Amino acid sequence: MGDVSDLLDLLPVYYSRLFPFADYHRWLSYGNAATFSKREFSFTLSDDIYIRYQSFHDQKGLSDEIKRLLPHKIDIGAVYNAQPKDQRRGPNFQPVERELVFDIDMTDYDEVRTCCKGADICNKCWKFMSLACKILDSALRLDFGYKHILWVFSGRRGIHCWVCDSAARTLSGQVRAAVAEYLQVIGGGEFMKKKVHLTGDKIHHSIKRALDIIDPIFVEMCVKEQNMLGTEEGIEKFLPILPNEEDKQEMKALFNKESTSEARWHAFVQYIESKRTEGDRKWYLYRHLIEEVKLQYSYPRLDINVSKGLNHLLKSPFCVHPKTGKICIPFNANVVDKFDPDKVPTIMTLIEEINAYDVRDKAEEETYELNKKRIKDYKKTSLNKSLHVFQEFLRHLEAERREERLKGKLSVDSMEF
Amino acid sequence: MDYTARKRHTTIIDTNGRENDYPHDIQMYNVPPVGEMSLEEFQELGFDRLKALRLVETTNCRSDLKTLEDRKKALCDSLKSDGLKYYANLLYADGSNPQSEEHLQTRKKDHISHFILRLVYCHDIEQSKWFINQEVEFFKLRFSSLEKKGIEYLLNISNLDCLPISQNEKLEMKEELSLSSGKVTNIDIVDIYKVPFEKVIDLVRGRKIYLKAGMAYVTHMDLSSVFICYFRENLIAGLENAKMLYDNISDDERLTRYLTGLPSAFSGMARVVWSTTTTPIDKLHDLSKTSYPLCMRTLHEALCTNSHLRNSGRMQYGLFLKGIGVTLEDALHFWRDAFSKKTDGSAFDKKYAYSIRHYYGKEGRQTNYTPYGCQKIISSSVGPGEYHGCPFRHMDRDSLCQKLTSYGVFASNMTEILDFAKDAQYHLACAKYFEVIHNKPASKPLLHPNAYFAESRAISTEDDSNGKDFDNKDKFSQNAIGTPGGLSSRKSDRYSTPSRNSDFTGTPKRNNKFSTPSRNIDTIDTPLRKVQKTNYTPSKKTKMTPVNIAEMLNDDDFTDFMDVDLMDQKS
Repeated sequence: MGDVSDLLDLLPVYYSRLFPFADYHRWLSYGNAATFSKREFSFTLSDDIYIRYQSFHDQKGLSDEIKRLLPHKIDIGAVYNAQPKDQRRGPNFQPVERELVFDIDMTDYDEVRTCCKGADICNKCWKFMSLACKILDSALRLDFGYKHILWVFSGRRGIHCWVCDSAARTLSGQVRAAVAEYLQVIGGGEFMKKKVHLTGDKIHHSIKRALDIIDPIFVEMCVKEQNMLGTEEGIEKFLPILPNEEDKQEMKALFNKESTSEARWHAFVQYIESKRTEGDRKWYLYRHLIEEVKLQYSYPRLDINVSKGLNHLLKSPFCVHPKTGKICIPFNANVVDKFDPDKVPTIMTLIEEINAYDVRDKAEEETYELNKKRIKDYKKTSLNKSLHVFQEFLRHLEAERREERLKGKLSVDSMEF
Repeated sequence: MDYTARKRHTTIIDTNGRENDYPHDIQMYNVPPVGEMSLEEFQELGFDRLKALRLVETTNCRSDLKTLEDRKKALCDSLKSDGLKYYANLLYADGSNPQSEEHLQTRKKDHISHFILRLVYCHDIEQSKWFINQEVEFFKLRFSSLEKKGIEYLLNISNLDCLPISQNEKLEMKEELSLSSGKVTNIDIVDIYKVPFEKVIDLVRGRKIYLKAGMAYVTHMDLSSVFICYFRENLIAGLENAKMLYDNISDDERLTRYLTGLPSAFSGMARVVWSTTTTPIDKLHDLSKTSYPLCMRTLHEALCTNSHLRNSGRMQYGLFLKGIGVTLEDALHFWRDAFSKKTDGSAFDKKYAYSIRHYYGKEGRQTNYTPYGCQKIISSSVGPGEYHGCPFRHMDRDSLCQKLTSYGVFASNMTEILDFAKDAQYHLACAKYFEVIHNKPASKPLLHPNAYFAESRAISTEDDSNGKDFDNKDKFSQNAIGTPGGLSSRKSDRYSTPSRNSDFTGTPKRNNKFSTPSRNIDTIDTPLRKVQKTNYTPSKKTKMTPVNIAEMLNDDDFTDFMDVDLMDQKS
C-alpha cells in the first residue's frame, strides 16, 4: 500500500491529531507516575534506525519526542528499576514489571492453512486468529483469573494480547514461561509430524474447553474451507500423524475412495472410532487421536519466547504498521468473529476522514454559524470504535484500582503522584 | 546472621532448644546458623556437602537410572562408599524426626554446610545455577522419602500459602479435579490443597493440575511440587543475601581462600567443553559431517537448505560454534554467507549481526554465554518451523530414521538408536550414533555437544597420526592441513570469501593447531583457568569459563536478545 515517503507525510498529522496520547499515558502509568517514567519505549525510525531504552517523565515528554522523531514503529518494553534513559548499562539495571504478553502470528499457521502463505491473510485464515483469541481469552480469565486483557490487531497478520492485571505484571520470568507452556499445546519442530500429544486417559479441563470452542466450527473451517484433506498435498501432510504404517496404508486407501475433504474426514473419524472400540491391542494410540488432530489443525500457535521474558519488546497499540498503513487497534474479544482485518482503518483513510470532516465542518459553520464546539479528532474517524474499546478497558482497570485503594490494599508508595 | 563468629577455635554447644532449631528432617534453610566452630570443621563440612552435591549431579546424569527410586538408591550407595553416611541418612529420613543426639548433629551439619556452600556459590551466575540445581535435586530426592505425616508436619511449620480445601468445595469442582489432576483415579480419597498457581509452576507447565481463577488445586501426592518450588525460590533469594553476608568475612583470608578454592576441589568431575584451538569456518561444512553431533549436523543442514534459522536454532548452533573455537569475526562471516541467499548483507547486519555479537558477549548485558549442554537442548521447546533441539528427543521415529539412513547408518544400528530414542535414552542414542560414525565408541559419556566434538576431533587426529584408517575422517584431517582442491576446498568457497581464505593461510599457526589434539577436555577448573588462559589465541578475548553441563539447566537468561528476534520476525 503506502510507501515510506507517504508515511512520512502522514505521520505528523497522525501523531499530532489522532494518536491517543492521554489514554495511552493513563494506561501505562497504572495510577503511578513513577511506573510510567521507568518504562522502556523504543522507536524504529525511517531507514530502519532503531533506538532502544527511551523513557519519559510524563505524557508531554513522550508525545513531544514522538512528534519530533515520527517513529514508524513504537515498541513497548518493560518497567525497569530505574529510568532506562539514564541508568541503562548500570550493574543492577533490570526489568521489574511488564504485562504478560502473547503474540500470535499467522505465519506460524503456514503448515495448516492452505488459503494464503506468509504475510498474506484473508477472511478464511483470519478464523484461526479469532479461534486463538477466544481460546486464550477464556483460559486466561477462567484458569488464571486475569481480568484486564487487551487484545490488539498487530497491523498485518496477527494479534497481540496484553494481560494487564497487577498480578500478571509482576510475574517472574519463570512463571511467565510456565503460563506460556501451559497454553502451548502444539509442540515439536519440523521433524515432528504429530504435534499434539495428550497423555493419560483424561483430557485436561483447559484443553476440553478449547475443544468445546473448536468443535462446532472445525469441519466448516478446517475440513471444508481450508480443504485439509482435499488435495494430495493435504493428505501427504496428514498421514504421518497416524501412529503406524498399517494405519497410513489403510487410511490412504480409504481416502482414495472418497473425493472431498469432508468425506475423507468422516472416513478418518469413523476409522479411528472403530479402532477405539474394537479392542485393538494398541487402543491407547487412538484414544485421543481425533482430538489431537483437531488441536494440531486449529489450536492457537503461540510464539512463546515473546511471553517468557520480562524485557521482550512488543509493538505498541495504535502504532501504524509501516507496510500496510493499518493501525494496530484494540478490539473486543467477545466480538472477534466480526473483526475484519481488511476493514481496519489505515493511516491514509483516517487522514482522509479527518480532512473530509474538516471541510464539512467548515461548510456547516459558514452556513449555520454554529458555535464552535471542539470535537476530539479521533471521534471524527473510524478509529473511534477502537478507542471506545481501549477506554472501556482503562475504566475497568481504574475501577479496580479505586476499589483496592478503598480496601487499603494498595501501598502508599503506589499512590504517590 | 554473622559468619565472623566461626573464625574462633571454640566449639559451640547450645543444648537448650536445639529441637526447636531443627524440628524436621528436612530444612528450608531460612535462617543462617549462629555460633562458633573450628576452622577445620568448617572446611570439612563444606567439602562433604560439595562432594555430596557432585554425587547428586553424576547420579542425575546417568541415563540407566529411570525412576527416582533408582536414582536415590544409586546416590545412597555412592554416598556411603564415599564415607558420607550421614548424607545417606538424610537422604532416607522419613520425616518422623527422631530427636536423638546423632540425628540432631546430622541436621546441624546439613544446615551449616548448606550455608557454607551458599557463600561459595553466590558470586558467579553460572556457578550458582549449578549449585541451585544440585540442591534442588537433592531436596527432591529427600522429600520423596517423607511419610505422609512428615509432609503434613513440614507443611505446618513451613508457613506456605497452601491450605486444604473443604469437602464442599471439593464436591463442587469434583469433575474438573478428576479430569485435570494427572494420574489420580479416585478423587474422593485424595486430599486437595489450594495454592496460588505461581507456587507450582512445574505442575502448571505440564498441565497436570486443575486451575481456577489463579488458584491451583494440588493433590497430596503433588505437594512435593509446592515445596520444591518454594525451596528453589527461597534458595535464589538466599544466594542474593549471601552475597551481602560475604562482605562480613571478606577480610579473613583463611575463609576467603578456602571458599574461592572449594569449587575446584573435585576438578576431575567437571566436564569442560571449550575448544582451545580456533576452528576455521571453511572447514565447518566438512566437520558437520565428520565431527558434529546429530543435533548440530541437523541445524547446519537446515541452515544450508533454508538460508535461515530461527532464533532458538541460531543460539543452539551459534554457541556451539563459539565453543568449538570459531572466532566472533569468523562467526559473523559464516552467518552472513549462510543467510545470503535470502538476506542481503545490510539486512543481515541490521537484523542478525547484533545477536551473533551477543553470543560472544559483545552486546547488551555483555554476558559471556556458554554453549548449551545436552540437558538444556533436550528440554528446550521446539515449535513449527524450527530445527533445534535434540534429534533423538524432538524428531519422530520416521524423520529420525530418514535422517540416519541418509547419513549411511545401517539397519542393524538403526533399530538400536531408534529404540534408545524411544525409551528416552537420548545420551545412549547419541553415543551409538557416535560409534557408528567413528567406527569406535567414545571413550567417555558425552553429555555436551562440544564434548562430542572434542572427542570426535581427538579420534580423527589420533587416526591421522597413526596413519591408518583411510576413510572420510582422514580426508578431513588432510584437508585441514591445507591441501588445496578436493571436496573440502570446493565447499569452502561457499562459506568464506577469498579474502578470508588468504587471511587464513596468513596465520599458519592456527592451522597447525587445528590438527593437534584439543587439549582441554577434562580437568580445568577455577585456579587453573588463569594459567590456561594464556594459551588461548589472542583473538579470543572473552573470558573462557569451563562449564559443567548441569549448570546449563533451567537458565532462562537468554531473553535479552530475543528482542532482536522480535524485529526479525515482524516487519
